[in-house]
Amino acid sequence: MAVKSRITRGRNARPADDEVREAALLRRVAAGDREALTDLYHRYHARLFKFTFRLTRSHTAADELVNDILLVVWQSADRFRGDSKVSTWIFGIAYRKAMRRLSGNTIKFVGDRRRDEMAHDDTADAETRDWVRHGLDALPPAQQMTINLVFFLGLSYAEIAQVMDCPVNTVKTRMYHARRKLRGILQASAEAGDPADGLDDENDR
Amino acid sequence: MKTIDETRTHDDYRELLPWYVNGTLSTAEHETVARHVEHCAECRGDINLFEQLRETVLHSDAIPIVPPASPDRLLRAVDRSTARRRAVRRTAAISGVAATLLVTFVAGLLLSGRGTPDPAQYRTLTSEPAISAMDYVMEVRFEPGVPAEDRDRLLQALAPGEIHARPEEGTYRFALGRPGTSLADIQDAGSRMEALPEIRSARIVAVQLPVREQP
Repeated sequence: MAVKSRITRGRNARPADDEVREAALLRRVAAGDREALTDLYHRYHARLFKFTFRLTRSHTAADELVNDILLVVWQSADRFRGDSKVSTWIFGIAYRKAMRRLSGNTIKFVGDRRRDEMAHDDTADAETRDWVRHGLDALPPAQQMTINLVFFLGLSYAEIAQVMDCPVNTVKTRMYHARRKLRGILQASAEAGDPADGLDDENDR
Repeated sequence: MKTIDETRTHDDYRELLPWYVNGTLSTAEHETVARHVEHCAECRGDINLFEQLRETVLHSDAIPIVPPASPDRLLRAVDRSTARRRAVRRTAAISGVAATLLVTFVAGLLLSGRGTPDPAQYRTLTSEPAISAMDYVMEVRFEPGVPAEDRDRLLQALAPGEIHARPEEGTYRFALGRPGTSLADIQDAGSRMEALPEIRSARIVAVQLPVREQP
C-alpha cells in the first residue's frame, strides 16, 4: 500500500551520541564556557532562525530572536535538569520568546512573495499546497505552532508537550482541531471547484 | 486479555496520525497504527492531508535566506550580561563590608560611652532624608493554569517585598530596587523571569521615587 511505503519510523531521530554531546556542551555553558556557547550557537543558528522566521516573517525579528534565545540559554543553562533533550529545552525557550514577540500580532504562515510565485506555478501539487497554505494562515497561532513543531522540527507529541509546557492531550487536541478546520477549508474549496480538489481523500469519493 | 489493538478506538489511532506521518511514534505504536490504517479509509484520508501539510511546511522552508552565523553579537550581549552581574555582586559585597564596619564602629562608640552626642553641639545639615534608591515596579503575568501555590512559590523567590495582586488576571506587581542596582540589572532579572515556563511576561511598568517628608 502506498501509505505504508511513504511512512517510516524515526525519520527525524537524531543519533543518541549527538544528544550526549549537546548535554555536555550545555553543562560547559552553565559553567561559563563561552567556547561551548559558540559551538551551541553554530549548531542551532540555522534551525532557530528558520523556526522564528516562519512565525514572525521578518528577517530582523528572527535574527534578534536567535540572539535573545541563546542569551537566555547562557543565563539559564544551570537550570537544565536533563528531563528532556537539549533541543527540546532550547526550542521551548524559542517557543516562549516567539509567542511573546507575537502576542497581539496575527501570525501569517508564509510570505506573500511565495504566494505570488505560486500563482505562476501551474502544477496541481503547487496549487494544492497553496490552498493548504491558505488554510494554515486561517488557523489560530497555537495550532500553527503545533503543526510547525510536528512537521518542521519533527518532534514527538511528548516533546511538543514539553516545548509548549502543556499536557500531551492538549497537543493532540490542537492537532485534531487543526485537521478538522483544514479539512473544512479544503472541502469548501473543492466544492467551489478550486484546485484543492486534487487532494487525495478517499472519504470524499 | 485484550491486545493494544482491541482496546484502542478509531479516534485513538486518528489522533496519533500526525506523529505516524512524522515518524516519531514508538515501534509498538507505529505498528498498531499501520495495522489500523490498512483497513480504515478515513485515516488514510487524514494521512494524505498530513503529508500535504508536511510538504507545505517543508517546502516553504526555502523562503528564508539564513544569514551567516556570526556569534560576535551574542558574545557581546553575554559580556554585557556578565559585567552587570559582576557589578551587582561587587556592590553587594562592598555594601556588606561597609555595613559590618559601621555596626562595629557604632557598637564600639556605645560601649565606650561616647556614643551619645550633646544636643547643643549637634546640628542637622538637612531636613530631608537622602534618596536611598529608585524603585522599579515590575509587573509579572503568569500563564493561564499555573496553580496558586506555584505562583506564590515563584513570587516569594522573585519579590521579597510587598506584592499587589490581581490573581484572577494572573497579574502581580511589586517594587524592585536596591542601592547600586541599575535599570539594566532589573531588565536582566525580567528576562530571566520570562525564561520560566510559568511566566508569560515580566516587564517594568513604572518607576517610583521614595516619598520625601514635608518639613
